[in-house]
Amino acid sequence: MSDLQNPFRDGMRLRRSPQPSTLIILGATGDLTKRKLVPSLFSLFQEGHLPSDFKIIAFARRPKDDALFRDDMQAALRQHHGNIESEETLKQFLGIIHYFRGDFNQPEPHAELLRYLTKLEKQRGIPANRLFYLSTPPSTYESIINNMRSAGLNKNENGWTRIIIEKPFGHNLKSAVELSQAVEKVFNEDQVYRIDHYLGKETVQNILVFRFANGIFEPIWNRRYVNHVQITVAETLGVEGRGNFFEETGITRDIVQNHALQLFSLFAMEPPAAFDSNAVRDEKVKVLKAVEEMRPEEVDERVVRGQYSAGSLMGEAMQAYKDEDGVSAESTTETYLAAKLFIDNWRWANVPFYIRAGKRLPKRVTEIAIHFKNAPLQMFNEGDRSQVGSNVLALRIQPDEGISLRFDSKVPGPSSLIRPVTMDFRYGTSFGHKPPAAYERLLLDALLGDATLFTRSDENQMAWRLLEPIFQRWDEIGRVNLPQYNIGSWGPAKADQLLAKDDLEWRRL
Amino acid sequence: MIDDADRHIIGENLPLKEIEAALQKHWRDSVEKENEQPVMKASTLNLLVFIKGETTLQRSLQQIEDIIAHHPGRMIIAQVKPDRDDDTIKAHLSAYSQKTKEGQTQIAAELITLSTGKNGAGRLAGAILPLLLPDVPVFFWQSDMDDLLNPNFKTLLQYTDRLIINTPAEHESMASVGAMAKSILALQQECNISDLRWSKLTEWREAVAQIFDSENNLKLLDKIEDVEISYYGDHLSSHAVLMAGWLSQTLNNIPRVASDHDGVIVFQKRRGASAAVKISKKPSNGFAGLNAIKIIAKAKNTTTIFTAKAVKDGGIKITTQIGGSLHSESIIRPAHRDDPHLLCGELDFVQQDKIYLDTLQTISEFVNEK
Repeated sequence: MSDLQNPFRDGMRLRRSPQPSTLIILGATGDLTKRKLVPSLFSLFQEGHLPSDFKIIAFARRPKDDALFRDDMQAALRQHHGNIESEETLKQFLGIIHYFRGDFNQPEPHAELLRYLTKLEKQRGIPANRLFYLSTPPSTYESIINNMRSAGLNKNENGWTRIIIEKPFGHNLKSAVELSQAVEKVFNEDQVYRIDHYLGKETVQNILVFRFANGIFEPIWNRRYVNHVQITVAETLGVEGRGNFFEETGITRDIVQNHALQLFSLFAMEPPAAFDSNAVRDEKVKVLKAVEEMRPEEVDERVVRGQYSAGSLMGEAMQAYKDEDGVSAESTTETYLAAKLFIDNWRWANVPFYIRAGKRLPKRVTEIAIHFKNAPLQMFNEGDRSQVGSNVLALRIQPDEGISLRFDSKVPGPSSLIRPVTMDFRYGTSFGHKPPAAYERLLLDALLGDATLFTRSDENQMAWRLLEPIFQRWDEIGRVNLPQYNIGSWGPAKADQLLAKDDLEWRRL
Repeated sequence: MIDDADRHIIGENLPLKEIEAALQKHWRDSVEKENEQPVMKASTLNLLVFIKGETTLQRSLQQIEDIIAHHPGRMIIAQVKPDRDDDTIKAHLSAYSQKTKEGQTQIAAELITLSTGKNGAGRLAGAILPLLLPDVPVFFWQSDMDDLLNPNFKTLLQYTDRLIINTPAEHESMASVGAMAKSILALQQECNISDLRWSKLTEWREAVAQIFDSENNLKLLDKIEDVEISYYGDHLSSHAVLMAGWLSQTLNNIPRVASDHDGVIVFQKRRGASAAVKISKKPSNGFAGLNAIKIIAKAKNTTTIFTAKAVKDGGIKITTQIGGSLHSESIIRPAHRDDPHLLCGELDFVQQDKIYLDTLQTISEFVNEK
């Protein structure tokens, strides 16, 4: 690439536009394309963020043509996009979508695709800038990538080639390393964009702004002031018809390895030297490396797993995990996990990090709660306090995005009663803008070549390494009945005991 | 997210000293009405608006209601009624509130309308300053450029983070554009400035920027010989002049020679090879605004012409012709942005728009040279 800079981009703070390019979605007839990718691309189109010359090529096996696929996408947009500003814009958007039929597990369709793309680019007079999106089952990644190499789709001299890979990136450390090696044989790391949509959420990005754009928080963001940290990723949903898939993954692989550990690393990392893709990801890797490795015998003490049993949620009776479609009646797959981690570095030594994630919990909520140490001297009468509580700073990721601080305050009147109060910042009410969907931001970043919000290979492997002792211990133990928790409760009793041993309790959400 | 805010009248014809107490009382009453359910108040800015007459007041109120949905804060409208001679300042207070999706009441905005007669105009700045919310930025929305020269505004500009103006769409001559540029440049010492007229050019600037996003096209940058800007209209288009100023300064072509005759205006360097930026007009025929920007580059005996041209549906078509043959063609479809949208967008930024000021500087130098 040359060092020439486009001087007309100076001061264009309101708009960012990627270069003329083509997005190729492999496995385009799947649910992700309908529910997330195409609605996000339409929003970008409607807002004028896509380049002036942009095409979407839907690459899939099913017998369809442009017209039929566009009809499908139109129906999907009407269902999943809440803000179609005009029918004319919709028509224009559908016009940039083309269907390319082929079996991506076979080499020949990739060669045909290359010919098709080259012809299209020549007709349009644009460079061969190509972004491939693997919206296919993870089991197909390796064969697709090899087919791309055979066809020469992995690089070109007339533009850039990038590839987005959807999580999960492996099933454990070994398979993650193998997948990385397979990808690295075909693509350079700077061509690969591993997508975890959590990182596209505004409030996740706001963790960095909150920490590093404000002077008041960083000085107390350490072992001297923080007693412990609780990270919660709670879902009310069950497996939603994906019983077969979930049986293979469990909550640890599905949520903890990626979403929860992303939040953990963004929260705990050191300040990066710059806000660029490598500096930020270097710091995330460093903090994951610093996590104290659990010995197998410690896993039983520091990790709790559970499985939901029948119960009711929001007044609706729901079946147990083992009764879900595609789930074995003897299943030992965990739908809940709580773990206690430590980071062996100067900032966080001896500060416990409690992480919990679960399905069919009472509320959908994702947050990081920092529980601060108590004041060194309690001069007020404990009897006057309605509740003994520490100061808590909660970073709420979803659904009610914002930040709240809990502190004690005197109850008005002649007594000296003390009650906790909260001070709330709500993202949605302070800023009237509707935040863009996570996929919008991430697709735009990939088109622009900004990988900051994508997972790097070493980061992904480090997250798997951290969980490896847990999987090993579970393998040693073999099939056991997991602790059950009722649907609509906050997890198994053992999860409460995990904190009770430290004289703590989970934050009530 | 606020979509439809309810307006509550808190007080009318209140003396200035009762304003804060009345707003506090509204806050407490809201809590009681909600049976001690949480009531939230969010503030992200102060917005000052100066107006004259009743029609402008109604229009400003409508604009402010559009803004509130995106920028909660304190809005202060100062109104001078030319038909009144008195100098007393009366306040009308309203609050806008909204139920959040969690069912809580949010006080989204406080609107303070101060009105006085023509003899009280000089006292408005002193009435406004104590009402500004601390810590959040102060935006000053003023569409009438003449009022900015009023000494009463000077005090307010010192406490303003960003002044938002909307300069005229047309001018009689380059001299009047130059005079306007100079008066805006003089204000930059007081506060940061943004101009909605300039914001409306974003799509055209984007079109030009997109042409040179391509590395091959970028290599032709120093081979550009001519830039032709055409516009529809009977008078000199502000957009055409701003575009010419921007292109000239971006191409490092600060004019040393300028000409303005037969309806064609040319920006060009005095010495050395450089691009000439020409502006010409076309009969309006019911159209207004920019028609096209044509950029002509010559390298190795091949002429490349990049054209950005307005098309019927409001989009901009970009074409590239190399050696007389059409090489590529694409269309930018701008997001729909009317004045309230643009104003809302400007309230997201506090910082100085350096490129705009550089453009005005170029225009100002053009006029000095001519």
